[in-house]
Amino acid sequence: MSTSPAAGAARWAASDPNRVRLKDLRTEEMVLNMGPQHPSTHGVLRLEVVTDGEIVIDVIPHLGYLHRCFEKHAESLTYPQVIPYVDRMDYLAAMNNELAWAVAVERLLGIEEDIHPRVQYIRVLMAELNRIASHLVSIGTFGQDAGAVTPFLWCFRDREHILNLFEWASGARLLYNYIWIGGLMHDLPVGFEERCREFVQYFRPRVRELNDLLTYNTIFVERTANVGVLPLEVAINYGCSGPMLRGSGLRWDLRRDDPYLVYPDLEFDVCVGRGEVGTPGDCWNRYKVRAEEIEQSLRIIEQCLDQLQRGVARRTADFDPQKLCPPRVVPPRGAEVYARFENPRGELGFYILSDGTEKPFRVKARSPSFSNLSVLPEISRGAMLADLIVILGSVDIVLGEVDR
Amino acid sequence: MGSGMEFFIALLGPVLGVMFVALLVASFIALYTLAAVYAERKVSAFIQDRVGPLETGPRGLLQTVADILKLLLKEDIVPRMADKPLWVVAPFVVFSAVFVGYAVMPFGPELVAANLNVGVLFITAFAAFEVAGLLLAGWGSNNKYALYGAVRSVAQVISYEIPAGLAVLSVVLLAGTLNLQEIVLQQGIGASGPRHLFGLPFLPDVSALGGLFTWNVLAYPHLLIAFAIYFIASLAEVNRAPFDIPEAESELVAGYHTEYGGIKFAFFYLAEYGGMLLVGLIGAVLFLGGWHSPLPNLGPVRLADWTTGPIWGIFWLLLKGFAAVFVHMWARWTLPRLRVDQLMYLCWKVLTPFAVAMVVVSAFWASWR
Amino acid sequence: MATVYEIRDWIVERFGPEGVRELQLERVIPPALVIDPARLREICRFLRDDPRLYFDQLMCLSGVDYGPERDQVAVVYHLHSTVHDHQIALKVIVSRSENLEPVVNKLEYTRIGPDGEPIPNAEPPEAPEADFGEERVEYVTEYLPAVDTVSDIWRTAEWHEREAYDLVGIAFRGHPDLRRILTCDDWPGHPLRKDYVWPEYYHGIRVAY
Repeated sequence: MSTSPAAGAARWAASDPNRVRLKDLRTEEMVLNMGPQHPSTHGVLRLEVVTDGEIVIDVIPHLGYLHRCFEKHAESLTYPQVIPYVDRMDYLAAMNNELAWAVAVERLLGIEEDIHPRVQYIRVLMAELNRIASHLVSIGTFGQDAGAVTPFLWCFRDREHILNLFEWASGARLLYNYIWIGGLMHDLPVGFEERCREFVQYFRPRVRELNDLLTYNTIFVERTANVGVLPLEVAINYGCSGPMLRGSGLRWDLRRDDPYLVYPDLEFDVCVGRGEVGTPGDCWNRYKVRAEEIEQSLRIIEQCLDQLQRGVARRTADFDPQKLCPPRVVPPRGAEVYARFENPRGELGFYILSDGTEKPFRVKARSPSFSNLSVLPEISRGAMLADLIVILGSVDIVLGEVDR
Repeated sequence: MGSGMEFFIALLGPVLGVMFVALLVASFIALYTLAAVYAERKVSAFIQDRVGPLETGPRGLLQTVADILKLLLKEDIVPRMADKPLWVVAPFVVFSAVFVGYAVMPFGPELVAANLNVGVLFITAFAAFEVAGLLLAGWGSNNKYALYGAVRSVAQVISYEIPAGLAVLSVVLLAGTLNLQEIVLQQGIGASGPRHLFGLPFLPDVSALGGLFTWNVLAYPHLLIAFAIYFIASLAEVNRAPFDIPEAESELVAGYHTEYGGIKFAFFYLAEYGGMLLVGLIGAVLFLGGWHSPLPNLGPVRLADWTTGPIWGIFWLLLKGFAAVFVHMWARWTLPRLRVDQLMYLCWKVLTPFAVAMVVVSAFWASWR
Repeated sequence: MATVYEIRDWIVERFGPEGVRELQLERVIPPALVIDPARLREICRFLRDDPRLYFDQLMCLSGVDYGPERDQVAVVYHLHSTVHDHQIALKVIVSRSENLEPVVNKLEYTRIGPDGEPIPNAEPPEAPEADFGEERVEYVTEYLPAVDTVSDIWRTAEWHEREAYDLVGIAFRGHPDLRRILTCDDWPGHPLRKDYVWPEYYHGIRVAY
């Protein structure tokens, strides 16, 4: 083994080499490889940043450090067996992923309409709770990217209560395997609805507190308003969805516009970036959409709880959450479905192709973070290095979902 | 031969004395840092609704001792591509620059290691010298993040020297001296010459009253603004939030000390916390009466007389310094970080004009008096 | 909001009966149009720009390998209009083994031992300090079925096409930056091919578990 540093560096060639070559750079430019190990890439993303001092000339994201080939796994598993793998895509919103997979397969089987209302309301309740938990992480880490550490811990303190609820219902805190094809793993534990109401009461003032600490903080507004502006046409053209798209001003929410489960019966507003501070489409507005969605999710949760305690989805003695769970899930040959769902990060789509066996022929997961991340170079050219971090934080990626 | 020996012995006394004082101050800084790191953890835990360290020792008091032991026992790694001499010397340069500042700090009526006539100049000069160490660290590490951190800190510290220096100048103009001890002596009982409340001649003379009313910020009210400018600039000079962009964790990993570990990293830590206290102490000396008591003599209740003395001096000065350090921590755990251009904007377009105005006011005041 | 029949008729009206080869309705959600690969770009541009259709959003782009028996690969485009709120799927089916196009994007790494001979890609030597040799990087050509790119029509497609190239092994003519995206640049083969065989070792790391 040679001991000179240069030889040591040459011995291992990178398996994902830089796209920019040194000879193409101008004198004052420098390539900064941000990641895969970096505090602000939210996992293992590598950004190849061409910088001129503090100015970002170009960004080239290198993905795949967390790639597990979910789609290959799915081809060798039966439909119900895929659920735990789906959990691990967007690991901050596992309930939403499960819901998406379960409803997509139900649509493939043609049993979507037959699901018991209590199952449907419980699914929506869980999905909205998980949306709050996911947005809390997103807001907290975004604050941390801007240099404010305290909101992060406040958010995690409140998220803990939601995770406790999930643990009570499903036995797991992060990856639940709770929503099954055709039903649920269990009914809710007795007393869950009351505890959930207590959480809503506890949590409402906390949202206001968070707004006082972070949302309208002068330095925070300085750092995020008018930074990384994403015009609406660009957002649509790049396939951005969720808070990214709403932050740019399009009132577009699949829960309202391509409804599934009992969402049509529930009342909630679709929050959009209004440019109250800065311009629509900047980091602050994307952040604000998430903060407002938390309150809308609380509204949905209360309506679900009303139905679960007193309405059509009351607890009854003969309710069996697994009644419709098919013993063998075998969709007909040649059936295919593209189903899409509003996840905390945007549109999660599953394209499933069946060949008439127990295992899917082909599954493609269209993950929101993947498309949202692809717009990053477009909106961060010309920004400063510190802005790049804030923009990346406002895009709110989960690498488990980008890389699948 | 005999005269050589006598000369040597004559030299030995002062040298030993200086070394003793230096050792005293060094161990004080080390102990203070241990306490301050613990305090920072507890303060941040309180702000963040957590409990902070609990397990090591009673109420987690030994946590920082355990940490420093860990740092001391760590392997001393030198990166292969580093510029070795620069890399090794940098943490000690940074620490020495802070350490030397304590030499001219008056801790009590007679307690000052080096009573320099140009103390103010000395201390600002060495505070600026710290940046040379940061640049050495950033360049010597041969790491892009470290280089970014170093370049940012040079830009920042040099810019913020100007409003800080001007704020200090506005005190010096009124005091008429560069000697820190004399500046302190003017701000309490026993000040030579009359000292009117709020500096207005038609208000009563308070030099016998002492306490709070004789401090510079109350004797010359415009110095309150100068003090605010100085405090903000000093936050930036010691790279603390919201001006911690040279070591911005979320952007530059750890800035100029990315590559450091073990004892060398500990020296950066010592320098950071020592610097926080030092700028707090300078602020206290220049604006808040130094080692003078805040309690005035009220008729027969001679509070100021009773609470003045060498021990009281150390107590009051450190209390003021620690209060400043606490505000540093409070700001750090509450505010987000500024961006580098916003930092420069704040320095050159907000703080510097105001600081210049303060100098002008001081100059007129001094000549009119 | 246009129905799938209307959409088909408008395409046929504009591009002739060969434009749409098949309309898949039965058990296909949303309904799919199988279109002529040669006219893909024109049809896509028409779908995006025609005011009656205005498909401004490409929701998903999936590469599908139908396996060696059927000897076909497909690219499926799921389109959506934010203005009219209608959806459609487009399918382009091309042969898997004929009309292949050369693509020079695949990195290949070889380890050259101290004696100048390539070291076979197998288990690394036991001792951590043992000599692995130098690594040599070269671009190699592979032959893949090709479809026109739509990445200039919908920018979403840029990364999704890279993904389809990476995992299914479909080349996209005219793509600005056709590199592997999810797997490493030197990963052997395209994992979602039905006849894919896992490599035994990758850079001396055992792949099978």
